[in-house]
Amino acid sequence: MQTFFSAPLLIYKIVRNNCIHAGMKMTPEEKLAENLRRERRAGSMSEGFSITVNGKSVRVGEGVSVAAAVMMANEPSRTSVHGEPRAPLCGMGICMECRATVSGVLHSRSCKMTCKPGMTVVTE
Amino acid sequence: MSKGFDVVVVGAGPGGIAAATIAAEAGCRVCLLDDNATPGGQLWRGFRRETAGKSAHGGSYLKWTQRLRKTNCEVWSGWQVVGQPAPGFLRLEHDGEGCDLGYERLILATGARERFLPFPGWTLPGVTGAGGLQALIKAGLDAHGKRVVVAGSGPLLLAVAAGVKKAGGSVAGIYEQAPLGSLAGFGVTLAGHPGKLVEGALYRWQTLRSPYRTGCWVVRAEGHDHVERVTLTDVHKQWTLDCDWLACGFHLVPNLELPRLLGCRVAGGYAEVSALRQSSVPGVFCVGELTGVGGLEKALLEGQIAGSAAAGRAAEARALAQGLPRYERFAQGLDRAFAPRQELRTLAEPQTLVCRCEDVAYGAVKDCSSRREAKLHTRCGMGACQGRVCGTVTEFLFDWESRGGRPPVFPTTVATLAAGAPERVSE
Repeated sequence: MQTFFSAPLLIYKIVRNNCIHAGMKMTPEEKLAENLRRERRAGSMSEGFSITVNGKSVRVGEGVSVAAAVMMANEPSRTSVHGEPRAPLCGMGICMECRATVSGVLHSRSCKMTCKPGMTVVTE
Repeated sequence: MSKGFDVVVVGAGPGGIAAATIAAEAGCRVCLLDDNATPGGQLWRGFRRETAGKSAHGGSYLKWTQRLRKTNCEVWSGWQVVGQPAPGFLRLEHDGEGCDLGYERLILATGARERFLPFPGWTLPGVTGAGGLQALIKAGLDAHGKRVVVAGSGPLLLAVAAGVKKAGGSVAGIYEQAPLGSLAGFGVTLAGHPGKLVEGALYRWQTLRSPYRTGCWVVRAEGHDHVERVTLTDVHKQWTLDCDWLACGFHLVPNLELPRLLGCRVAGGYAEVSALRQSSVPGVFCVGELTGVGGLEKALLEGQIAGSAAAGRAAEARALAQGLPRYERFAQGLDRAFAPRQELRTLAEPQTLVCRCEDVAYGAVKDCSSRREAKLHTRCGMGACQGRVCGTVTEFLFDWESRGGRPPVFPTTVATLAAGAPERVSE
């Protein structure tokens, strides 16, 4: 399977990478994309803003979902009816495992919500 | 509050965006609804105009979103459909507020979700769906320093592994439950879809350092309050891998709750549609994964067909429909190749949970004779996910038919449910 999936693109990638290393110019779109990616990575580390998850402060970048922030705070998203910790499963609003109290609203599907500065999340 | 449109499209993924664009270009008043914060669906999730060009599906995203922006189609993001208060109306909810929306024609593009199957430890934090982890990463989850096992079934696994690597994580291995024989058969189907072949090859290239093994599946996940290790098998032997996350999903199943609620006939696990994607309910169309899990190109084409048909341009729709059979064959090939193997039925132990919402164990439901009996005796399927997870599980484990189709489509507030019947507004 490995060769079946990987052979055709191999040459293309090598040539392309070599071109970039050889100093071939990036297109303006590629530059913009690269910068944005760097910013986003930096955003989650040093810039961005803070939200509070179960009293812990978490720094997140623009556009990060509340469920992702809860996972990055290493907090379970809810406690099951028999007391087990749970965390997001489907990531797309189907499984309801990520339900939490977000800014006072009970049972919010945190994977469907985007972090806003100063948001408070209390997991259920 | 109620409002009316010629065409309402539910689901702003590729299929829904194509349908809304075509119908709006034909002069219809169109509303495109989606319950996510931004349009794009799962495939185009988190894409932005500035950066989309770098992604595998960025080209199609830019093309269709630009086309959509040029129309006067209204895009309502963050709106959840909860039911049908009267024929020709949908009841919606947004930030706890209800609203009724009238339509002449309705196009459903509600997409698919992952099939989850239970194994000991599948409820541990850190065990996500394969597409689930991909969605979370696209939504900003940082994977730096994380060791991830990707398992389950479907072409999605390679894309997920590539996504994990791109987000800074390491992939301990990709384990596909389907045997090599079925994949080889599927490879023959792929010959007619070189684009897919290239896409698969690109993902595989990005994850070359991680093993890709077929005929292997997860037997159990273990850890204290979080997954720490995963045991896998290839029938002959078992082995254990340490990991921080396990991403495990078994291909996709369509989100049929809304079509069922509206009375659309379902056959063989998918919505029954005509060549022009008209469902069994007049004026209601189903496109994309609802008619067969076939990915981007199929959804785009079906969206265009239904958009034309809903706008009364039957000739154009018929011309477009000529191109459908090859995508339908592709979807059937996917279902055949990545069908879950029988051994997966035997993974759950008596105390393994089947229903995650109500904590109902396999041992409690295995002697029930139907889904209804299990519901009445154990509350299996009566939790917040409304059987979206365990319904698919019990369908596979016990062949219990999942019917669904009861309002509300999603949990909602009493105020939204109790609002009176809508009145047709004339504009």
